[in-house]
Amino acid sequence: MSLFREIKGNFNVFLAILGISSFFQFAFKEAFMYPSVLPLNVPYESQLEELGNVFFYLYFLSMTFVSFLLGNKYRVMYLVGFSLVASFLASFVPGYNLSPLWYYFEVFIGVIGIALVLESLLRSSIRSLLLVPSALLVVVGVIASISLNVYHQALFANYLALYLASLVGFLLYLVIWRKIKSVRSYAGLGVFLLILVPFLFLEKQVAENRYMEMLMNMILPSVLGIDLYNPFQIVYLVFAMGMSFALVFMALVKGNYAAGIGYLMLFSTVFLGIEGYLLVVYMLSPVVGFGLMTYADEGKPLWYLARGKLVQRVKDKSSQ
Amino acid sequence: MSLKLSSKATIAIVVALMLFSVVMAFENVSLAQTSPQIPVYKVVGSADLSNPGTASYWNNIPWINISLTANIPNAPTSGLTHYLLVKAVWNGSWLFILEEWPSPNPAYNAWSAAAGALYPSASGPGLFRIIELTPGTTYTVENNYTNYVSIVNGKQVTGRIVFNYSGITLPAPNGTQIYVMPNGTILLYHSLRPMEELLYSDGMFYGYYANSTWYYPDRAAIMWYLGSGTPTKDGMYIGGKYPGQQFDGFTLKDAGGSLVQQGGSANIWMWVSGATWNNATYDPAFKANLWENESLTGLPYVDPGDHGFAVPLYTNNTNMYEVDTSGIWYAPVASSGLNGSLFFIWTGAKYVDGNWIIEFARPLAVPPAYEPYMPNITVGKTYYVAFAVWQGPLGETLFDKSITPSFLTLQLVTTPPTTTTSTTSTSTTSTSTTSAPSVSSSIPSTTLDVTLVGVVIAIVALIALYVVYRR
Repeated sequence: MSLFREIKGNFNVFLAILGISSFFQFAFKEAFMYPSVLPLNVPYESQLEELGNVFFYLYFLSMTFVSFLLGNKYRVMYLVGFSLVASFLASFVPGYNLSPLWYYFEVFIGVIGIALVLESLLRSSIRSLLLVPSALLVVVGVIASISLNVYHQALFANYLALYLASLVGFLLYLVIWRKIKSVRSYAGLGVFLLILVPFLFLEKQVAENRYMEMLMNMILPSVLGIDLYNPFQIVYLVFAMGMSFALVFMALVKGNYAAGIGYLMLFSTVFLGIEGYLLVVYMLSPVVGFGLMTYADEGKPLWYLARGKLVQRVKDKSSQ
Repeated sequence: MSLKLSSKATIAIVVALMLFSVVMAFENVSLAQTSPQIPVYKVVGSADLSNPGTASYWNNIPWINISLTANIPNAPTSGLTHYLLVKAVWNGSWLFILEEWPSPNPAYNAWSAAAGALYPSASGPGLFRIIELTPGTTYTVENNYTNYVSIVNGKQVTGRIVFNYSGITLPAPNGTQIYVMPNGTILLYHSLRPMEELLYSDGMFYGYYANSTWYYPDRAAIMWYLGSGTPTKDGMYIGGKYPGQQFDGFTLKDAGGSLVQQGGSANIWMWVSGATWNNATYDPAFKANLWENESLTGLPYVDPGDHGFAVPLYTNNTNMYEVDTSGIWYAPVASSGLNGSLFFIWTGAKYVDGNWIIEFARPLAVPPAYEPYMPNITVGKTYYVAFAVWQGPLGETLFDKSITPSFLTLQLVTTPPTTTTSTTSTSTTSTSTTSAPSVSSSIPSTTLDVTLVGVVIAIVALIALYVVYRR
């Protein structure tokens, strides 16, 4: 057995590392970016931040590695992997991000990111059309970041509406992924509800208690990086966060590990683009996440169906 | 999920990934950043602070549109400025930053409370703060506190005021003065810094009260991160006067204004319409010639051009300080030296068609005595900056403001700006008393080049990939 095949055979190991590092870098690095005026006292905060740093680097390394492994299915993943490696090497060049080359590189990343999203959809079955809102969310995030970093213009959009649409689409996708009636499917739905219910109680509390509403308004948008133009929509964001975690676990229980981990990567980093991604790794993270969401999809790919219809149409025309 | 760790290669790679992660975290390796969000272009010329934004080079630079957010969400008096336009240039020795933001109601003649406190004859709005408590907050006067005095609607009563909101009670300090409006809203006069933290923590802080005759100055601030690494938090704590302050039975862990970013520090340039705007008509401090009166300020006035200025502040994890030896707004950072530091950052400001336009000007290099508290700005270095704007007539003051949610990157670039047709136009409708700026900036030619080249490279790479795997 070749070395590459042996490593590829252990894809789930690297996926697990990616998932774990994604969760902990989110919990101990990104989530610690809450605003200062929050009346919270987190015990051992600096130690947890150190831990978050370790997981952040593990996230970067494992994402790079997984990108190359995924290249077998999604060719554009090779370009993503090379971009991550190139970004790491470039950081050793003084003033690298002042060079016009770096602007080319950012636009390049934006284009291959969008290409990867399209390739992921085209190489997946027709049910992956339910993931189109998630795809749009990723594309909007990338465009928002390039808009700010390259054109210096903030992109105003209803990110929350897109987020909610993405959640609904992903839920339906998971429900119909493989068997609808199976032990795993029921267990997945059970776990989904078990995780969602506490968030529903929290949502109710936030809606009824102004103090909680103020607190959540300070925590959640800054943790995710999302801009809530109307702060009174915070209840929807609480619901969306709860549903996101519930869907991640539902996917894991149902056996679609890649989709679960992919969605975790997606929702935890996609909104950082609104304020302009500071780091290249975060810019590519939702793109890789989306690729993972469709990785375990089964059935005839969309491009195949589209080609079949095209061939049929040509045949029909030639027979007329 | 099958996790076959029996493979030696897999085990080796997993161990290597983990080891590398620990080493990278230990060494604090910087991963690649995106291009700077605020490029500072090289230009020839100087600033005309008497008419900010009019120097010819500004026409060649597109505005950077930065979205702002509420510092304290859900308070109706926070986050009132939704965006800020920024441009920046340097000319070899000086840095100029131009800001513009919509402000329907300028805070003319409102004192900055700290400046007003220096001037015995100060009168007018802004001299102290009035807090509006969250609707639904009630109060009782506890008569068993016989050594306490409170003032309710101008009438002195014996006893201690206790506020109650959603079952949370907060006893107020001795001498608390409140006014209860006809609709039941409670206004708290002369609030103290620790009291703001207590009210905020208990969900009773709704905002600062303002009306047509009582309001606060407008302000704009730029924060420069001075610590190492990539900062993640651009905010400051609400708290006491110093860490661990004992206040009326409460212990306040943090000092108000101290920086949240652990191990970090920052320099802040704060322009205040009621203190540092060199407008003898609308700025009460300049009208009273306050800054030239050394007996009141304790500092010699050292600006021969009589410019406006920005107050240099310094914040770290312990407290907020003022970078001079007098300490007018905050405690002085040092007891000696720092000559001329208060007037080191020059500003020019004007209010035009419903917008504030402020220009900051500062030498790139700072005197050695200033260096611990202000950045020496050099080419090739990434600076992390954050912006804040206050609209005083609408109730924004102190921690109640509009801010950039996170730090932005700023870098001096050695290239001049390219010619662009960037324009800023204002429109005023007859039905509105305010004018909203509409900013349109065409894409600079280099940006268009960047887009085209980036897209072409990506498409070529994608085609190459397709061709390789097609075989």
